[in-house]
Amino acid sequence: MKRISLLCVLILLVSIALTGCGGRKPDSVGIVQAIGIDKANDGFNLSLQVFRVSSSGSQTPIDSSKTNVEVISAEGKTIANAVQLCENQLGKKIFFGHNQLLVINKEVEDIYSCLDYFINNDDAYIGMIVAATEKKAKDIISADISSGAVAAETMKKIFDISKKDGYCTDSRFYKVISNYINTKGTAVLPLIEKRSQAISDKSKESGEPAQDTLEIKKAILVKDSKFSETLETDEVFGINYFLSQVDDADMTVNTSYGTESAKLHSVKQNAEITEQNNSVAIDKEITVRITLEKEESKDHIDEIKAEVEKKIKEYIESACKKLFYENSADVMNITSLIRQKDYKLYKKLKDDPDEFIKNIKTDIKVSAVY
Amino acid sequence: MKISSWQLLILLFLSRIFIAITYFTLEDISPSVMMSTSAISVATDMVLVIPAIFLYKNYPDENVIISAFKVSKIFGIILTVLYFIFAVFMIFRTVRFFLYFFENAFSNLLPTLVVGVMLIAAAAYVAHLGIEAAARSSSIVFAVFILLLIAVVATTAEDFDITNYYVEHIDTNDVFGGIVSGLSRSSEIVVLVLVLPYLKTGITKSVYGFLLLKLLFVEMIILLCMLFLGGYMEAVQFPFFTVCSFAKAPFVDRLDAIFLVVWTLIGVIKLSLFTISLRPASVLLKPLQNSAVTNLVPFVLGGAPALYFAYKEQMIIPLLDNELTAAAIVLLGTVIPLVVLILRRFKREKN
Amino acid sequence: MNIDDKNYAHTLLPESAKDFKTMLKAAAGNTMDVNISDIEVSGHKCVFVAAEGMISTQALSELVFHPLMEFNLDHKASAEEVYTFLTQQSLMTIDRQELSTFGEVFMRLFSGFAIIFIDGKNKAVSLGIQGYDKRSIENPSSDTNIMGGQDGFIEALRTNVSLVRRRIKSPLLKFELMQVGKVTKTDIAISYLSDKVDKKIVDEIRKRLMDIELDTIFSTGYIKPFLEDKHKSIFSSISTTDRPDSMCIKLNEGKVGILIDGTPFALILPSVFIEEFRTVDDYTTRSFYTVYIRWIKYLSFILAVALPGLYVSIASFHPGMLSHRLLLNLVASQESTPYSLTTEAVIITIMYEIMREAGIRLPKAVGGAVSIVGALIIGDAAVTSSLISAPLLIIIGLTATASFVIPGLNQQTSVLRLVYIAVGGLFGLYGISILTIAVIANTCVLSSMTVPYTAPVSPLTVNRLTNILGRPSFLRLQKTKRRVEDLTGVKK
Repeated sequence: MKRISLLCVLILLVSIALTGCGGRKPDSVGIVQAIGIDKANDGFNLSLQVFRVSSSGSQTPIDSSKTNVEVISAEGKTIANAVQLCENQLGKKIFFGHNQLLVINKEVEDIYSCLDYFINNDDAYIGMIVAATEKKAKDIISADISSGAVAAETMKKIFDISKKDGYCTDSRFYKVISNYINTKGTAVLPLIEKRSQAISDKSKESGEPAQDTLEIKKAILVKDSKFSETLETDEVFGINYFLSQVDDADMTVNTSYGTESAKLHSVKQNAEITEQNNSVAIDKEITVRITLEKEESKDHIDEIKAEVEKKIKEYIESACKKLFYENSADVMNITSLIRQKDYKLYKKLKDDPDEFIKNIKTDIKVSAVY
Repeated sequence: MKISSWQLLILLFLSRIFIAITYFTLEDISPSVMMSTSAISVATDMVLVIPAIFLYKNYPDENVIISAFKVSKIFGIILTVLYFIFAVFMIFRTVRFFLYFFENAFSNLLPTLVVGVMLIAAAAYVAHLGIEAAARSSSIVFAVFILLLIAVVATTAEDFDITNYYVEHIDTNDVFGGIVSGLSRSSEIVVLVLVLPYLKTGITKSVYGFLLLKLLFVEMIILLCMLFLGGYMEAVQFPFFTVCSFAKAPFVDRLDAIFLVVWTLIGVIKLSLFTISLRPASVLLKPLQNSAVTNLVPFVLGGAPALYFAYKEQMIIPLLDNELTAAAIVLLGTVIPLVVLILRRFKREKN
Repeated sequence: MNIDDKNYAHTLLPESAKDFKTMLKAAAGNTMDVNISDIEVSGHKCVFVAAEGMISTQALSELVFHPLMEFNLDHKASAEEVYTFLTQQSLMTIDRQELSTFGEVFMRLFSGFAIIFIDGKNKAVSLGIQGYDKRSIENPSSDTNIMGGQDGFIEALRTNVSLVRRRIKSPLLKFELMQVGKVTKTDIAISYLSDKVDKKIVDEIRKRLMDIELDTIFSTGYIKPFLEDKHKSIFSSISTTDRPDSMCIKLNEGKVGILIDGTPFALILPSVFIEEFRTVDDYTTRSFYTVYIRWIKYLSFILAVALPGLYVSIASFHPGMLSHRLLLNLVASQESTPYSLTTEAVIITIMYEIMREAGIRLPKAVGGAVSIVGALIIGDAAVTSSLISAPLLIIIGLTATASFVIPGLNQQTSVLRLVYIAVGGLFGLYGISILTIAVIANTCVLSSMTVPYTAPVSPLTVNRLTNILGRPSFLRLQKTKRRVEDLTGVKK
């Protein structure tokens, strides 16, 4: 009896499997690579860079020389509504599991409502990069980047390298949300721009269409779920050095011997929090290990070290000035630091974070080690 | 059919970790408070399991129900009914919780009814095979769980931010809330007093080892979520699951589905334990002598309402952290065994 | 006395040769392969019986007839004198038995013995002069290896016994002969090392074999179910081998070997799961290589069973798990195929099983052509015509190759593979996990003569974990005696 019932189950399972019931074909979902959100008259204009295979046939792989994506757009009152309209357009279920990039146009008014959809989406990848743009987000994700299987792959690589070099803050989705929640509505997003450039002079002369590329040099502050001030490159560097998010970055300094290049590695940090006269003081020590590009530069290493230290300190101070004093924005984990070091102090300050940030006193010590 | 102390430890641990790895942040309790109260809850458990230990040491081949039968038949019958009801309730709660998590984390995957039926069928099958099968399977599942944990920690460690960790001061409300919360999730204290006849030797090692291991892993999981997610924990319902969705392994870009696999394996073991624990005493009561009754009836009685409420999409999560559940666990896991011990001694002295 | 083919077993031999011949013919019927001859030994009437093709004519002439002719007393020999000569005084063969029932006569007769019945004595004598044709010793067919012995068991029990005895020259190695099968009376030898084995296991095996009521025993498959424990599992707690060296290794661990006449495979029990991954080559190569190959085998098993199911479930239900590039390639390959991944996988798997089975059944000369047809033509054509996707074909090819690494588990991997595909395709990784826990529990419940099948993993026996990682070093092996009893978890 037992064997018969097992046999029946086996036959049933295999028969059902042969009917094609259950599961989906992998090509029946639209794999989103990048998302752009622009402001629309009544809601959002959602643009999705979706994978579309350029060569078909079960034997031929995807053709890397082609873009392999299509960009679809839809307007909706909410992000969810816009996603649904995109699905209708595409004729497939949208899958966000491999989404690399989320670009939000500067004019969008409520940032958090854009991000909220992805927090609640089961498939969404929490490591996607969140960025902002002054131009249309649709233009950014429509960039004609032909290297890599899909454009979004290259876009992500650009972000990764920029982050390592200090040009871009760590704006992975979960980090942005984490900071946003910790500071009750503050975050910093890299500002991304698209540039077109000819591949070579020859192609320029022959009139070949220029290739698109992305540039990240600045950042933009988000305060109370709205875009606020733009941060210049130096200020972005300052944030990254403060948070030790720089590794393998190049720095050029002017010495009495001329312009010197140094490579910065493994930024370490140590911070102490004290309460002084109803305000918070932070003593931060940052240690940077440097290597030199030229052997001859070793002779004046002390001067180079001093210049590096000075430059890093300048970056950080300009970042602090812009963020703390001018905008009362905590994007450098100050709140978390206070919470970790002195919970009582944190309890006192957490209800009015803007006030204590504005009055914060910073004492930054940078030491470069060779 | 006997199991070793290590096997019992793993069984109880897996049963407890089932809830811990879907540690969720519905209540307004910070993870730091959760860490502190977990430790206090474990300390409480260490006291609450003492009657079970003494019961085993005095009567190693008996569980609380068998011992109660030796005091008087009526008492034995009453306890059988009580523990049977508890098993049904725990099956209901576990299945409902499983389905709740499934609906929230994998909403597009499968119909809830199918998920529930498969889970119950698998658990009934493992229960039917007996304690040895469950115990040996649990060792393998434990190894898989450890591998998952190692993969998650290894791939997320570089993104840990120490500033996300903080120690929040707790007050008496937090302590009481933590104890109630911990107790209401600790059905293993009750299971322990029922599975004693299966144990070969080493009750103390088993029980305290389980409690310490539980504490270690619960703290580790909460700490991992804190260090990695930081404030993002407040935005998601199942933080450890979210961490797994970011973690990678060779050939696998996300570990959230692997988490589902491991969690399902653990869930089946946990569910099967409830009916397996009823079996030693079932020989004493005629209606329960049929293994189908002991095995299938609790699953049907507990599983059907769980499926019904899942279908109706009614949240039963408050059942998880509930003073009533905690009280029931203390009663069945500590008070009743203590009473039985005292009565047995009293009867022995009288004779 | 009435005798027929049903009551012959316990019928005593008569005294007269005439009655003996009559009764023998009545019991055997008109079968053409029983030769009955009247002979005289020193003037005394005897009956010579032999089965056609079972005895060696050379041995018959040199060892039986010649001495009988030489036995020539100066008077007509009595029954007793002839009997004494046959049983004690002559040096005909070493294997001589006195027979008193027709059951014993037929047993010996059809085992290749010559029977001499003496008129006036109600006993017969059997002489071991077997000369039936048997296969010569060849390479083992199923359990091949590189550096171990190249001789394998054959169908003749006594030859197999000698292959084992040659390797273990110790009086502690015992063989117990018994007959199983009411009609076939197949010879079965239980072998064990008396200082290593648990006597209770031997007694239990003996009892279970004696309780078999089958009429015929032709292969190991007939006996296995009677020796397995009551829990039915997809795996078997009894392993088989056609290698004498492999059997000797296991006998040395306190296991029991069962040799069956007529089949070149021996049964070994108690057996544990990990042993399916152990080969004789493990003891001939360096330990680092053994470790490496052992883990390749574990991986092969997982690939053989679960890879297609995992692939189908992940690609269909959890595409986020696949790496970005892999997913894109997969989607590209699936664009033009008509069926779902599950259907494709089931079709390909069934096709593969058909070709595999055909390859086994076909004559060797044609068998090679099947693999060429299958692999190159059908597989390649299916991909080119977009019937199936290339990645899936690679998966199935890898799976098929992996399944050959552990031939002992071929039955289980074949069926489980299909079930995993069906379950994975219908229910995703959730279904896979439910199936996996069911399989794990089904395996864990199995015990082989009190030894848990999943030992030493579960229950954990720490000092035997080296058996899982690779093999223990010979230096360690010479210091510790490893017995299968250590895996029961009972501390001595």
